[in-house]
Amino acid sequence: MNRRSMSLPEKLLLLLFAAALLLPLISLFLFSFFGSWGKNSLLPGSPTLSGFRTFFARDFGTAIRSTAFSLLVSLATLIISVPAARALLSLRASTRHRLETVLYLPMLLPPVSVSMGIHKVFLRMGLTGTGAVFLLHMYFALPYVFSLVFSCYASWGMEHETAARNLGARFFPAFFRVHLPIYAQGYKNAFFMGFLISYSQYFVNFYLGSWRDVNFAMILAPLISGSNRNIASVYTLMYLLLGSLVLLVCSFERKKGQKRGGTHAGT
Amino acid sequence: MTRRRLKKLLPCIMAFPALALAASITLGSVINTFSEGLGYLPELHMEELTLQHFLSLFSDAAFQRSLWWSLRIAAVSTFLSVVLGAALAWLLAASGWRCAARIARLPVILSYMAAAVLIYNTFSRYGLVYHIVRLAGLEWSGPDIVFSSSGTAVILLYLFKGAPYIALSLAPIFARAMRDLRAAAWNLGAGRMSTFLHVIAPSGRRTMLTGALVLFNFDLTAYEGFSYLGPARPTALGVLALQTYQKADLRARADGMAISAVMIVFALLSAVLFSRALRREAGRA
Repeated sequence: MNRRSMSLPEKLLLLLFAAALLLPLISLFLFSFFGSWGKNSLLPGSPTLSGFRTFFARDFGTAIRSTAFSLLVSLATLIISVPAARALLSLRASTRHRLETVLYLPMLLPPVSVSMGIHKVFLRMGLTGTGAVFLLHMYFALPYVFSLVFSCYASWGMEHETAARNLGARFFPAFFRVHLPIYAQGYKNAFFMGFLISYSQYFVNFYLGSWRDVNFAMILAPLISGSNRNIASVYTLMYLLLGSLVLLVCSFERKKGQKRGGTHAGT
Repeated sequence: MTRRRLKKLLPCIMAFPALALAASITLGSVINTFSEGLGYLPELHMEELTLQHFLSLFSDAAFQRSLWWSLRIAAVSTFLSVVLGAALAWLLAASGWRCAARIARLPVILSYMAAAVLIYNTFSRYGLVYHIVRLAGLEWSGPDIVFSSSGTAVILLYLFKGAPYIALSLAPIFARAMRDLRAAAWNLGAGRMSTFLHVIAPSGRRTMLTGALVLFNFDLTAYEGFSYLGPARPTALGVLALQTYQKADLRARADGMAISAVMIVFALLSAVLFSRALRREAGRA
């Protein structure tokens, strides 16, 4: 199964798909590095870095804060998803399915309805601003993080860890030497997914957050309808770069783990 | 005895934080949405429960337009995402081309807001496509698809995000099916297209249905795409709910919450329909 076994129409179709996906990305790079592209000019105007200067002078702090916030949300979601997945595996199938449904509900409910509905409840509890936004980010990330952790346990089971404990290993050595090498990659995938969900939240921050909770997606919003394509593209590029950086760190760690001869978990 | 009881309770204790988070926010938001939709807003001295706000929605022309428009956009973009995503998955699996898989992953990493910027820069008037057309020596005569009432830019946004998502979920399933079944189908005389339609594609039917559920639900009730790439009229359900809720006349909050409740009902209804389809699918397998 390789490119040589594909027919010509299939190859052309694949190229067409790649072009359709790349076209918006090409526009991103072009408009990021070229200030203007007049309606009657065939080629873009002179190159400029003014968009980047604006970004670093005005919103770099917000971008870093937003990324750090999403990393924390993802970590907290992973921390509550791991014991939940382990617990659910030990339950009867019928009970497990019922509880799984509860955990998948945030994936089905519209963020607009949940944010509007829970706002007053949070206000009555005195939960406002960052705390409320943090909880809702965790809520929306939970089904994705949980499902990845759960599928990881369902695929590889917990026999290795149980065997280590039965052979006399204490909790922490069993955790660090047996548990982590097996599940680390699954956890990293789940962590990255949680990060993505939180990183791309817009409505929750827009509706429930205070001025301290302005995140990267929010600073992008007015740029869409604004006429400055250069700044809009630079901000989007930086958004993509920061997200990719987190992805890169996760993949880099994976390779390191594999080199150490971890386990089949890295596959 | 205490130890045994503790052992029995341990799974509940371990699952409690995640379940409490999911259940409490779901219940809190659903109960509050429906009670406000039913007119229960004590802070505005509205304490009488009534179906008035729900009933008035269905005679409201703006709501009806908004509902049909949102349903149309969600149905079209979900259908196209699944069809194009399945085709892309087939090509990814057949080519084994890692670079193509990486390109397909990029839109999934982007948020809807960032993807909306890309769609705007590419397809709006004087965007990249306009300049490519001009560079080819042609005249741009088409209407601006961004902010148009046809919703083309919104559909493009959802396709840009949805098709790669479906493709990446299906590609490993198709690759396995191709490894195990394709040669057999070809040996029995099946052509490329019929192998895909009758042998490979059915293996991913469950994933397609689940993916379609997630996409349809999101596309129907989303805010970002509609708000920033859609027209001012008609508005999508999510946008209409927020606009109504934030009207200067505070009594309109009940109407806004009624729209929000309708969105929840649609989301749950589509989840039930899809889960039935999944169960039927599992039974068939």
